[in-house]
Amino acid sequence: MKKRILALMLTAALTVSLAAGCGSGGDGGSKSDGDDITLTFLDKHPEEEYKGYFEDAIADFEEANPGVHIEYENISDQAIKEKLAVLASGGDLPDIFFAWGGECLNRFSRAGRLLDLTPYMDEDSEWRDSFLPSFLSSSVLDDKNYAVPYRSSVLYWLYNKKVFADNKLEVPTTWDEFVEVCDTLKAADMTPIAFGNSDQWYTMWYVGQFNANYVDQAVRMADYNPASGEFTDEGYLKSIQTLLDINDAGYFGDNVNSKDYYQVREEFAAGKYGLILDATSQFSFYTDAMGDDAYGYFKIPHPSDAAGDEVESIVTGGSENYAISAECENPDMAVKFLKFMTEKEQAMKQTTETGLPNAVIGGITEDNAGKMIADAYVTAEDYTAIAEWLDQCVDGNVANTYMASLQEGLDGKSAEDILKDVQAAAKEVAEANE
Amino acid sequence: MRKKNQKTIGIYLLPAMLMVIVILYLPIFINLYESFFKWGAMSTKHTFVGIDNYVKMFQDEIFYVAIKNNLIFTVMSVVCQIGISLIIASVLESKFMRKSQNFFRTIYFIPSLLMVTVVGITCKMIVSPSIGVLNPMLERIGVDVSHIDLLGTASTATYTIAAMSQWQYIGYTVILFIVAIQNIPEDLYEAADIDGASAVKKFMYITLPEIKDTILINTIITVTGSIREYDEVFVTTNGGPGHATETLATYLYKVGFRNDQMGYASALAFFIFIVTFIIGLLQMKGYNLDEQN
Repeated sequence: MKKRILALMLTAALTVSLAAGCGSGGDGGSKSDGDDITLTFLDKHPEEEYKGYFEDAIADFEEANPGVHIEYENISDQAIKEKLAVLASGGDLPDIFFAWGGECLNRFSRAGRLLDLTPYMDEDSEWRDSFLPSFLSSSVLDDKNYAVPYRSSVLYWLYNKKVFADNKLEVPTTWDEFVEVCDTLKAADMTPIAFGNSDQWYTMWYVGQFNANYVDQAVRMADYNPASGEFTDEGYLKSIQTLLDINDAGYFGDNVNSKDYYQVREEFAAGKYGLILDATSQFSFYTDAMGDDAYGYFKIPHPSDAAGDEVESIVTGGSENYAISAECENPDMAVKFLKFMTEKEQAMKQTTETGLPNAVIGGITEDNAGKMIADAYVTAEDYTAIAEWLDQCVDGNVANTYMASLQEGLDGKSAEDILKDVQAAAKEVAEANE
Repeated sequence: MRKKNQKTIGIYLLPAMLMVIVILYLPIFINLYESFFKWGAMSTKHTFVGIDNYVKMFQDEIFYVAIKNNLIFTVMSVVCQIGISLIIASVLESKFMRKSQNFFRTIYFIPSLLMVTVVGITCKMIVSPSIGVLNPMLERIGVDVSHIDLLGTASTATYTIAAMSQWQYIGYTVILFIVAIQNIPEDLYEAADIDGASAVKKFMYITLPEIKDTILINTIITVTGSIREYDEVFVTTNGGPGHATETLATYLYKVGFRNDQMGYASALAFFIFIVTFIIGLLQMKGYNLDEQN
């Protein structure tokens, strides 16, 4: 009898622990314990030079708001894309999380997974007005704000001043001059452009910029929308062909599919190449590695035959944002945290300490960002439109097809075949989103 | 009393059974059910599409690329981790190698203790045409390396990853085979020696039949491992260039978590399950056969 009771107790204990184990997955979000509030925060700045700033900022916020705890998780760029998808499917989004703009964010907004920040911004219009409008706009869907930008970026060509001086080169302002620069460097036995695509995404910077040059804005927006994407405009073909032509001309050098961006930018900094396409958010890397005097930047010349309606006025760039989950139990506190992170003083501190350009009006100065970034932001005022990063502003399926096919393109696949793949993916996505 | 005993046994088994049902069988059925729908993690729509996802799978070119790559992994793994490692094991177990066996066994075994990420990144760096050591070495012996980019070229990438995987795991099966060979009674070999059997004959007629159980189990582990192949590919090429090194598992992951086509990913997952399940059945059958013998 004793044994039986023991057995029953053991069974009950095991069953209860099993049930408890099954149920523990559901409390990933915020918790309120008495007066204490815990918010979960998923971010993508694990790099040594960035993470300290974010941890300090969280500590400052916690100190200013007793009883509030922020559970900070900080993972890599690629990992966060997938982690968010996994968390979204499990219904377990963190309270506050990082997200790129465009479709990357819109898919959450459309599914009702994000807290609508519009009422908070209506209440505090100063907050809304503090952001650079072109960067705030990337998180707007159907006139509603779903996120706030904390980091901004614009794409430029960077050049190594010594390499240019050694080869008696002038900074190019047109496509023909750009090609001439590449030819001169190639003739001098140097690989003109630092480019590595083993990670696949780097081609998207090029093609995204060329798409913006070749294709009219309205057409592009319709194609980038998952519900109506067709990619039939001939500009898309020319855009891919332009990238393949650069590769075929040997301006990228050999074996581009087995080098990655991080490798080639180190090599650029070491003087192995003349040019690299990069974003202002990465300028601090070059400043640290080469010094402000060793490199310069110039606006991306558009291909000579590009005739999109925004060809002169558009540049690829975008914002990186923080959003709040719709299921957050303490939305007011989460919004308060976002306000803290994006208020001008804090935003400027972010740029000073990490080199990550903020997205606040008047937030980039020579003092906090250095001369190069400050100048680049002044130059960017020539642009009136921002083309969001192509891999972020289209549906994941279209983006991944684009990237995989372009990688094959660098290995010989034709522009027509690449575009066919993209069109097929876009069609499939459009059908699913009807 | 007997009835009471059965009840107690039942009560003891219940938690484990519940655990297996909830954690193992239930997800399989949920996965099968979900594979008949078109849905994404982030969308609210859940549309019934019947067997469309399966039809799509069999029309999908990348699916066949993935199967081809899984087969390459399987064949290379069986040849190296069963064939070659068996030969290494029996050489190491032969009398003239006994003294130095420990040394070689350790050398072969160490790679299997390393993390896949470490091996993957190291391999990537070794074969990199720009920063690696392989191409300069080949150049030294007179090979034209201008077009050698093992991981960056579609035609060579899968074989390179598979080769790396063999390097890592061959020692593991060598150890398993050595243990099995050590269990063979020494008098069988002595009898063969008296009969004047050669080393090859002893291997063919004594070693092989005596360790056939171990061979069978190792083969099954190797084959199912090859079908689930994911981590090596993920670390080195992530399925690229293009989709050239995609395996069923990497493709399933991309379809589900990058393209957000969960229904289609469920269909792919069910296919992988069926294939591994059939191999599992064969495994059980293999055991039964042995018992009958």
